Amino acid sequence: MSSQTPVQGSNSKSTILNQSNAQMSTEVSPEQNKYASILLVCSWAGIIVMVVTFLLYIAGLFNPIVKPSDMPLYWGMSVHEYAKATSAPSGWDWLSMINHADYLNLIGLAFLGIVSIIGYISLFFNYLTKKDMPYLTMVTLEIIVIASAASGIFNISGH
Amino acid sequence: MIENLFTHASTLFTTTNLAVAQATGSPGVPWWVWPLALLVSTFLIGIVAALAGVGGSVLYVPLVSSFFPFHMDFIRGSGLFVALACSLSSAPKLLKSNFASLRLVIPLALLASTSSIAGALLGLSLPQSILKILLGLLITSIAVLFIFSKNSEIPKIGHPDALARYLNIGGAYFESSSGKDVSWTVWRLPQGLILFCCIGIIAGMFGIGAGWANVPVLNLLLGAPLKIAVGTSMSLLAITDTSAAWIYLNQGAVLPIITVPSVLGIMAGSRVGVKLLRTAKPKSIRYIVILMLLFAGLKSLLDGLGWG
Repeated sequence: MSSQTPVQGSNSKSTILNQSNAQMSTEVSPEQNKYASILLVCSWAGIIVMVVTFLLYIAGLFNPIVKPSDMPLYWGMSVHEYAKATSAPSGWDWLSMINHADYLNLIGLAFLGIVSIIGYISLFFNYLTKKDMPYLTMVTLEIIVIASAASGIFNISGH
Repeated sequence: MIENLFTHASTLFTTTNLAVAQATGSPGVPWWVWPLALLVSTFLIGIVAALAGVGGSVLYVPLVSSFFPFHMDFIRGSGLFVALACSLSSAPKLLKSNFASLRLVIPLALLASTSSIAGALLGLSLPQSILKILLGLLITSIAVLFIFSKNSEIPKIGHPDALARYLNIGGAYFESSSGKDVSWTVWRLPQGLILFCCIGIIAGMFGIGAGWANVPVLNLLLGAPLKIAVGTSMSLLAITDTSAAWIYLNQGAVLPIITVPSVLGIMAGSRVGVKLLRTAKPKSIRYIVILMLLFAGLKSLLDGLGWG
């Protein structure tokens, strides 16, 4: 057994030579740095949109289909009962209803759901340039997985 | 002082939730009381979660389903967005400080996010009573896991397995307490990948994020140092929860009136919690969280059995 090793005589800026084949540098890789920056900017953008649209909703603006004051009648229902009672759309159909404040609200939330894909697209090009095939394959598969989940092809009827 | 503050916060939390529980049976309660109570409760959950080092949604789902009148479908949908937003806001800093490794995140996230879709579909197809029973059992088990699991700051590991070597997983970070760089790698990656499939299913099914499971698997099984395990887990959640969150969103199980106050409350609370962390005693707080989990788990179990 070997323990994870504190590196002797190195400072925070140093580059550490390898133990096995692993990358041993305290410096953050450029692709990790870029990915982190994308997450930072996009997640805050999503949160700001989410807050602004929510304030519009609770202020009663933009003609919500289900008013906030009526929500207590519905939020105890299952999602399938709620969909029936309010004729709520499924999948991406809500996009055609963003002139109503309750669906306008979903823009910020949906944006949070694509932040990872945006980050992964930047990783895709990075690994493609580096010809890092294992990671290029995994990143591609991940984009397909999230895009499939987002596409609405997975559906549940009622329970 | 922090302990007093924490006691006051716990009292406020209990009082808020009792008031909420009483209001549940009162049809005359104005609608805005609910999102406001949710904002206050999730703010306090955020403080407690950050102080105890657990993800907010592991407390959020059982507590909100115990005390608020919302259906489990919407609470689980919100729980995933709570975990997603918290992860997205903290992952960049962890990734930029090298406390998280993308080379470790990417393979684990691929399996966890794929299986979380199956978990979400399963969760949305089960009746609420069954889900409450399963959630009760899960949360009680998590509380027991917290009691007995002993994370290791820098675990001892054997030779990295062939897969970890092939994927070139490892790195180094600066350990401020010792003033030294710590190099690390992982082993037993194939076993870890299998466990991350199971974690993904549970995360998607119950909407509770997965930090409570990610960290022990990364730290105790794969042998990642605790700081790397925590940072990598936080970065993983941004991807794992995204797939499941989309299933809930497409199904219509995300109600902004529940989700937005919850996300804002937990994010604000966890920021306050992180600031308090410098002076708090994590051990006593951890015991309070274990008690809260046990309480919420048992209540969910009893509700599911119809004895609540």
